[in-house]
Amino acid sequence: MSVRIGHRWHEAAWGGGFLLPGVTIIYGFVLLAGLLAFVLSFTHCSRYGTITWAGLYNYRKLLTDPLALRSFVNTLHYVAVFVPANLCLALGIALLLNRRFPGMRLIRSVYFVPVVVSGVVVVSIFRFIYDRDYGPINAVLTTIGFEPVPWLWDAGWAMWSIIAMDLWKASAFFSIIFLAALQDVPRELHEAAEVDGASTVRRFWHVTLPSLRPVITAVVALSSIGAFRVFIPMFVLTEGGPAYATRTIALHAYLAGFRDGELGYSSATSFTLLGIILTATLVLTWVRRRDE
Amino acid sequence: MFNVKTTAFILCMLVAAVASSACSRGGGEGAATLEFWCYSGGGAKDQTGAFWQAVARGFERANPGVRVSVVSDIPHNYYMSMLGTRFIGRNPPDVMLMDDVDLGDLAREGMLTPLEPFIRSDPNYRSEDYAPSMVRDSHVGGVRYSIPWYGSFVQMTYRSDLFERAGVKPPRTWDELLTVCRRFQQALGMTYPFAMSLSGSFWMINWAWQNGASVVSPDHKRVTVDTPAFIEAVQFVHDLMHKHRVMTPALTGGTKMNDLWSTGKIAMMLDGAFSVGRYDLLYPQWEGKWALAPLPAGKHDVSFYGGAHLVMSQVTKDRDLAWRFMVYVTSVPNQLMYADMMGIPPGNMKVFELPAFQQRHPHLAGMRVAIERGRNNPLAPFFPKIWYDLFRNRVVDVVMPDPQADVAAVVRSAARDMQQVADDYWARHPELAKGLSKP
Repeated sequence: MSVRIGHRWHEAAWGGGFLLPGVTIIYGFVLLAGLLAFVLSFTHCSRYGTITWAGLYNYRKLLTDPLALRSFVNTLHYVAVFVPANLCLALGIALLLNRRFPGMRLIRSVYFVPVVVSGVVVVSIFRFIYDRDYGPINAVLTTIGFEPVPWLWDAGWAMWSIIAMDLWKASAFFSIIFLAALQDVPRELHEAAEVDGASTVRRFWHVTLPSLRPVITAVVALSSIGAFRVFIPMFVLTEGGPAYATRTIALHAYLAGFRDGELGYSSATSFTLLGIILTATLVLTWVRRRDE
Repeated sequence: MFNVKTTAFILCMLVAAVASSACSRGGGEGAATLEFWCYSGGGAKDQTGAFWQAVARGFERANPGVRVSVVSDIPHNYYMSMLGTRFIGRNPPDVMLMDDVDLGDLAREGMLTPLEPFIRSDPNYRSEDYAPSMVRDSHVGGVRYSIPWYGSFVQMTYRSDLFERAGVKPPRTWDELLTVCRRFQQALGMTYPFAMSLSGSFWMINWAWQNGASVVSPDHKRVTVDTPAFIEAVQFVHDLMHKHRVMTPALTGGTKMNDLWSTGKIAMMLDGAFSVGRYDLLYPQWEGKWALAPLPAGKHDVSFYGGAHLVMSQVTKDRDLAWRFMVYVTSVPNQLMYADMMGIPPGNMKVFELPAFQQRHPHLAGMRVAIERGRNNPLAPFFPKIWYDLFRNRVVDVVMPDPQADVAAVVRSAARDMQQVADDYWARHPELAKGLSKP
């Protein structure tokens, strides 16, 4: 008995020892920093560290700031288009990749390339692709008689151009998740449906899709969280312009903090965004549990 | 557990580490160290690092026992963020370079050393040698916190060969600008002879000033872009593009100014002195075929002139040494070296009188008039937000691409949001509401 207790204690000590660095980092650098940032959201904090108590000022300002409202609307626009489009595109690609033909492994690897390319590199590539005078898209358009389109310089086109770019990168990642899930769908179900005379479309609706439901919920949750936090393309490509057409809430928080020196307001914006993401995640979790 | 060899090796390493630590500390004793920061990428040929290292070594030679540590490779966009981190940690560099617009917040928060006592007691430093507008910008709330480093003006860069062919001279007024452009269209068949970058609002302020308008009131409390004079100036620029059709609209759609200039599609463009040094590098095809002229004047003969300053942090241990370094780097020989290496006009106006400068930089030397009539952006802390962000996105991006835009309505609407930003700032900083830009 005492040997077993001693062994357990020894094991727990080793386990605790291995956990300690990770726990220290998480609590010390993430949770503590998060807590401090939350406190900061109730202060006026200059970029040089002068702090005065502000109460709810920053949160009230967020409600009345027209630029914040515009940023929220733009973010919702992005989420509303990106999430369903990403879902459909990723699932479609996965369905195509879930077939057997020569060279399939190579094609799957090629589809995964956008995932391993850094976000900033992708943005740089698309800056060239969308170039008004030298970009390949406009080269094709002008060849067939259309006027060149200022993709990133026109308030009507800029957000759509960025969404298209992000879809190219994100759908590659999510298609791999769908592909893994598709390969887990029991073959017997498809065979039984085929024997019963179900067409390909009916088999997709009544066999494949229900089997993928948990993965779909996970993909929607993950891509929604990413979409609410979208920052890099707007920061690097358009700086939120033209005419604020691509200014998202994450960019709004960044600019408030690091350009305008309003760290308290920036924190309040970030925590409001966190609240939105948490709410969206909770709703999705509730939907998934209800389905189960 | 450990064998003899391992134990001996660890002991040797420990002894070596302690010995090297002691040696390095001993070697540093008695040597005063000065840390200097500046941003990179501001120069035409971008020899920032090479220049500051040369200056630092020169100062070390002139002051035996002193070591200057130079940090010069931080891009301008991230410079103030990184500097801010050092200030928050109460461990800023001793001396640093800074844009005029960034001085105010630091000075008001007590992070900088007032320099007036040093200037008064040092015969080697003469404020009179610098452009009065830059000396004025060195003050925050009536206290002097900086000395000018360099100033950049805005000018009309034009193709002298084309002007000769068209038989015209650089325009001196807004009316002449139109006349000259029409002449280019008729004589040389140019579609749009004139270009001004519209990827921001930086250039727009010149037209407003020339029409007697300003972005904010002198006390920085009221946003004044909705005045008739301001709206008229914006309308004039809009008309140049859409009514008179002499200024290219391509720049509103992402076409780059460099492309228009390098391909000879335009005869003149608004540009900054910070670019002049690289013209012959970027456009060798136009070498000897370009020149500079002051901006055509409106009701007032004024254009942008502003730049960067040197400041000393409040926690500098050896302030006398830091001041000596500041005076040394702004001396005439060093400022001439700066102009030679960077192609940027120096802040010390004595340099403009040197035959060597006039010979090596004839274009810059000839533009002293642009410095004398120069005016800087208001140093209100919220100016970058209301001008470079709000005015750009709410006005420039909206009205300039649209030939039918109602300029007055758009500007008035933007003015309300800009005023809200100003009001918010003063509500948060009531203690700063007085003496913001008192010289």
